[in-house]
Amino acid sequence: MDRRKFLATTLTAGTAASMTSAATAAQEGKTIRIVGVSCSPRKGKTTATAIQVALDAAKAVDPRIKTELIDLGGLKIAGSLGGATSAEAKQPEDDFELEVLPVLKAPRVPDGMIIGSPSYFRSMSALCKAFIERLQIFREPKLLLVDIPVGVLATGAYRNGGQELVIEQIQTAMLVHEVMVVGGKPRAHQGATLWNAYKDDIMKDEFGIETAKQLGVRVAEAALKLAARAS
Amino acid sequence: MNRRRFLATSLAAGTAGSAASTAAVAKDRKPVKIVGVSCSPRKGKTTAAALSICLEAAKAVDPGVTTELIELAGRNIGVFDPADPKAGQGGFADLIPVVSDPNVGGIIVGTPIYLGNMTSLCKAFLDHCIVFRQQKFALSGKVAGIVAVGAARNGGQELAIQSIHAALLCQEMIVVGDGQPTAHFGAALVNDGKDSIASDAVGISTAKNLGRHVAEVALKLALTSS
Repeated sequence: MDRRKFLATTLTAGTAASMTSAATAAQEGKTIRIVGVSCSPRKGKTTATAIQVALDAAKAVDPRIKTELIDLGGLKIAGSLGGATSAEAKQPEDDFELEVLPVLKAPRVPDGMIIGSPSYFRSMSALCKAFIERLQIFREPKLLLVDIPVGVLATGAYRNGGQELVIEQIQTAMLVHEVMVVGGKPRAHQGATLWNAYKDDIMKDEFGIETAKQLGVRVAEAALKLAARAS
Repeated sequence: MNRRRFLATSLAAGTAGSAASTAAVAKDRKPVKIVGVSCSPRKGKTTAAALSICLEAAKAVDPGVTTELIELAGRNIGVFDPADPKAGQGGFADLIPVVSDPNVGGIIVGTPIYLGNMTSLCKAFLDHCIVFRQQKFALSGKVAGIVAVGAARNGGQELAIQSIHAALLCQEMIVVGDGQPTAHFGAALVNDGKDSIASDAVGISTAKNLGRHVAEVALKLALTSS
């Protein structure tokens, strides 16, 4: 069995076993894992930076929270190859299995997720859509991301450059996993909305950075609450 | 005759009258081409079938209307990377002159619904369309219509149509919905789970109305611009 196949087959078994561990982890004061995914083809740029800001804010909420950033920049990830039904959809083989899956499932599925995309023509990047299509493995044959709080972040080149539409689209896509979609704390109603108006120095967008922080805090709070109640 | 009937019958008569005059002018006018772009990674399946219905309806509007169906499946179009815009283009490069041709009066974009929105292939296509903005907005003034084929009755067709509308507005295209009598915001169809749309009468009517309406508006614009 090659590494790809191994990862795919062990995913279901491993995740099922660890589903309950999220709850017990909270009880025992163990880690709550929040994973941020930057869906910009440009590695380490505005979207990745803003997600890191959100993750840092999440971490500051409680000492049990640990965060991880997956930067899809530079990775080769293609979308689903489709099928007559979603269960029949074929998936390509690329960096998703090798670079993304291990982080998403190790040691168990995340307790919270923050997904961020640049806005290209008023919708998420093609890379982001490809990533979302590949999450299908967490949906069929079994829903593995159920009740995970998910927050969304969007960066745009214009002030009103589709950030709100991008957030709506990603939220809608993630609802198929029975996740719990969350916005940010007040001032970041829909999620984090950033404006790249300063030549890739996203930290200068004070309003946007504040929304990223408020999103991180909200995802962290929701993850803590859900983990505690699940026990 | 009540008012509704009167409106309906006089409207039909009026439309027929103007259609005849449109045809008369058509002789001295360049042909209007309507291009369908199927954004399914699977060739010749339901999205292509729905677009074919649109294009047939477009062709029936006027003898001057020609159509072409382009399928993105198998053209090796990868995700768009702004740091290296040509890197993922693949077969998109061949489509640039076809889509931006001045004779193209309308473009109908078709996508299956994956996870509540257009496919990543469709989004890749739209992202690569940035070249048209850079070529003095080569798609400006062309009519755009959208057809979405989902696996469920309400499977994200509306959101996908809206998302593609937004992207094409950024190209200064003229976005239209499916024409009367359905007249909403595009064609929305359902795959029956066996790769057929034949039993979806409602969806097929929206596809026909979309194709017809795109052609009608494209003809009207061709008249005013000549």
